[in-house]
Amino acid sequence: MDPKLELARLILKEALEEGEDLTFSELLEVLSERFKRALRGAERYLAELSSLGDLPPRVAIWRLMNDERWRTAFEEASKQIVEEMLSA
Amino acid sequence: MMQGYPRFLTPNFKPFNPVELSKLTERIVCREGPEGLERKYTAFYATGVYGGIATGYTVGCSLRCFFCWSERSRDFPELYGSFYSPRRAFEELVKAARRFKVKKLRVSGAEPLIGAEHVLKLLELVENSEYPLFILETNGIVLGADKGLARRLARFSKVHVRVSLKAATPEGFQRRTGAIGEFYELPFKAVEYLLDSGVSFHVAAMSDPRIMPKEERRMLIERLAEIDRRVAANLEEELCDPYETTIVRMAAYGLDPYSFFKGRGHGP
Repeated sequence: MDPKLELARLILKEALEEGEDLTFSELLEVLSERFKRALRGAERYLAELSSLGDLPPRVAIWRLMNDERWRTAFEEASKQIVEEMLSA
Repeated sequence: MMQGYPRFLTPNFKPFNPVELSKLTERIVCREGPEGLERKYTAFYATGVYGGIATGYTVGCSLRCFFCWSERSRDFPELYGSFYSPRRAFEELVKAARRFKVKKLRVSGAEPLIGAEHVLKLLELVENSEYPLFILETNGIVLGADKGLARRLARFSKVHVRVSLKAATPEGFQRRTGAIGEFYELPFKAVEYLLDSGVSFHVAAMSDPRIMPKEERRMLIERLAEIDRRVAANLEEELCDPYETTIVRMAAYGLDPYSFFKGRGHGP
């Protein structure tokens, strides 16, 4: 899978669990630890996201969804996550 | 015309018009002052949510959810709080932010868009400050009833709106909030208006399975996805916790809080 899309999907998925208790940088740390293998190749994208660090995850996600560089990845990831939410 | 001021829900409650209740509540919790519209607050403090945030606890809401954990001021706004101008409220928020070394601000505890001119003025002050983020938590009633309000919010770069949905059907909306079922559309309208206006926002929903049936949760997600899949994917799903005020409100509504929280009961 495209590492950028995978990162967007994992961010959305993790926010479902931890979106209220962590800052965005803490959420990224959790992701980096938990999904080391899946995020191989996504290191530069993770670094790119560090500027949003102190924001609450859902605020950071909305900014990314509206950021030209991330829009496509989050649109596709949203499609997948909504399907998962509906099948839960 | 509303007969009496609706307080907490009881088993034989009379459904009310939430837009009318917003206006009625505004007359209680807002007043004109020399520095603009003043709003009642009960406290200013900081809390750990959102990674640490200074909070102004306001008074007065347009819904009467039986699972609500806000203070008794929701039901008896006449009895609680003191009036603050937008400038004084901002100063108190800044004091709380400095005391607890946090950089985010919010108003909570009530519906902040009742007497919207107050919060809009507050946002102007935030916009010209060092604070990078202001979270506005709303139930979407006032916002859904006034399209122009989302456009006015869009002028501010630091605001992020959290719209909290209670239901995806008229029946569920009326049972949970006490408001007339047909008004369940307003929070969805609010979501559409925020999206169209380019305001930063996300949606929360009280989709706790003890309160919202699985099929209704599905309808809610589908409805959000029809508006925009990204909005559905960024949904914050809420769980109901046994706060003291929640337990009292459930009991007044004829629910057994013990059974509810021990997993043997369901919402009405």
